[in-house]
Amino acid sequence: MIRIENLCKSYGDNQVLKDVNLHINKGELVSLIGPSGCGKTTLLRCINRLNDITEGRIFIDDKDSDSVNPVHLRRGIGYVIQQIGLFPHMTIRKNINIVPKLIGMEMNQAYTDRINELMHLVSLDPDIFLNRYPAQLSGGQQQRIGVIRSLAANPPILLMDEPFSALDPISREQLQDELLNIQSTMKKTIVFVTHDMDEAIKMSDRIAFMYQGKIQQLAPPQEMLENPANDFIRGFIGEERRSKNLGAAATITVGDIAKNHDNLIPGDTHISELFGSPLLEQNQSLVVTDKNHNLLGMVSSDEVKNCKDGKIKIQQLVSKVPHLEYDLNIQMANSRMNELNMPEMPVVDGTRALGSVSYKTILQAVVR
Amino acid sequence: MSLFEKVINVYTKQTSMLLEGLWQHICIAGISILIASLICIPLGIFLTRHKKLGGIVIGIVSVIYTIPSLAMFGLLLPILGIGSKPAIVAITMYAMLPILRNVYTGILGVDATLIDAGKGMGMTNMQILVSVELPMALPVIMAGLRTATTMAIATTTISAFIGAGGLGQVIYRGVNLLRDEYTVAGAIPTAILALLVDRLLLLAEKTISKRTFRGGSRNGQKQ
Repeated sequence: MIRIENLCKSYGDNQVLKDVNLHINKGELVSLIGPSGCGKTTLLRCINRLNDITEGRIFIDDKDSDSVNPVHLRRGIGYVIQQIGLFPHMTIRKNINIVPKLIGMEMNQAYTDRINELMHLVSLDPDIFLNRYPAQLSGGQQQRIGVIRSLAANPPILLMDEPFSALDPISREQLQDELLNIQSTMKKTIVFVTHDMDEAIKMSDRIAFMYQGKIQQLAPPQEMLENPANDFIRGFIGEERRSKNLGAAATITVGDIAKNHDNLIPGDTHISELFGSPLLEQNQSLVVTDKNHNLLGMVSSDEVKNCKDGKIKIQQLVSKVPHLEYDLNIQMANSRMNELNMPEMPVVDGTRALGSVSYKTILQAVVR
Repeated sequence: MSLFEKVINVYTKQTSMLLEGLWQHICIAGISILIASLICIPLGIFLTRHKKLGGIVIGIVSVIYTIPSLAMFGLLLPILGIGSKPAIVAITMYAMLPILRNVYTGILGVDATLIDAGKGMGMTNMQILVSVELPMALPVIMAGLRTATTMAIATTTISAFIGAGGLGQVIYRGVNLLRDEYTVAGAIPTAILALLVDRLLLLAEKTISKRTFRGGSRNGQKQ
């Protein structure tokens, strides 16, 4: 989705980005983290061309961003900043409508419904808040609107520059959860700048650690915790955080996680019964069982959704996959999943299926 | 007859002369402010895009502002003769500084993060100017306009010396003929006019701001 190739950026003699390469996949949330002045914000602002590029290329959807008018490019990319930047002389509704108006989007019922749904996702009542002015909202509420404003035109990409850093710890946590919630339904490609390691661990699919204008390590959070590429990263993460997160990894078993993540489904269920059900919408994959709750295999939600014939039973779609025993600790589980290259695996107690674990649910358990 | 009675006498007997003076006064001040605004608002916007030039231009306009008005009229007389023409030119030059400076500082004073947010959302420079910078800078720009207008009304009085007409002529007559009632009869409407116009502009500013700005808690309390 976003491909950054050999990117260099200088201000006069001061080189702030040195030969940066980064590929970000569709639907992925990648954090850029590092100390102040490491170039993370500069890199972010190169993606929507708020900063000019000195050397190198950035491809968005395989299109060289240099060949697109920067104004049009930015309209297709959501942008959230730490200072929020709501226009104080416009109502919340007008603030949200800015980009849709710029691109000439039709403000029809479907649009209104979508905005209302977004408002509900961040627990703000649209009837009350849309007609208010930014000054009448708290900081946390304003940043919620900031996020909604960036999503209003439904862009595939979202750039977030330390969006939650200025908020109090409680609001910050809530907004992180709400963003994860939005992300799980909308699957945007998100580049997220932060200096808070806990936030990066919680939010990211992958973390890019930047220092002195270079990406020093690019890895999923768990891997970065386990194997920091160098002493600087190790120091930045801190031993305390490492042992806390890794210590938790040694005591939590995959059974614990699978129990809290109910995605079991009897094999004789017809596909048609599943369409639109929360079970299908909220899970990446479903674990299919027979009458005695024994594991039959797994099927991805997308596969079910793409299945045209509603009459067939779900067990016909199942693929047989390796499974994990419930008493395996998540550190072991993680390396086993890496080995097999499976992002999600079913968990069993003997032959009885308990559910499944994925990188994401493991990580959430660790951070919690 | 007391001074008060004499003044009343002037108002009742010489109504048409006073009204004519008032009308000339409004015309001279109004035209000057209009010309100054037409020059300075676009110029001020242009200078915010070329800050290096901004300091120089505002410096020059400031120098003009420090020239005493009598000296200015004296300088303009040989070029433009007497009458309302040199008056309008002089007052326009004086009105430039408050308008230009407030447009310039008003726009530069707009929170840079708002402009960054606008740019990041894909607004063009023109869109940012019209829907972010100008509305946000409006109170400052209006304040400059008010200063300029009050000043213009006051200076128009002095322009009677070069035969521009206006209420200054009435005052001037009183001074020359040593008849205080004329001086007072001319000064009162001048002062009222200045205050009235100032209030009107303030009201206009508040009405526009109220429609576009609503800080605080007008539509319900803050949560």
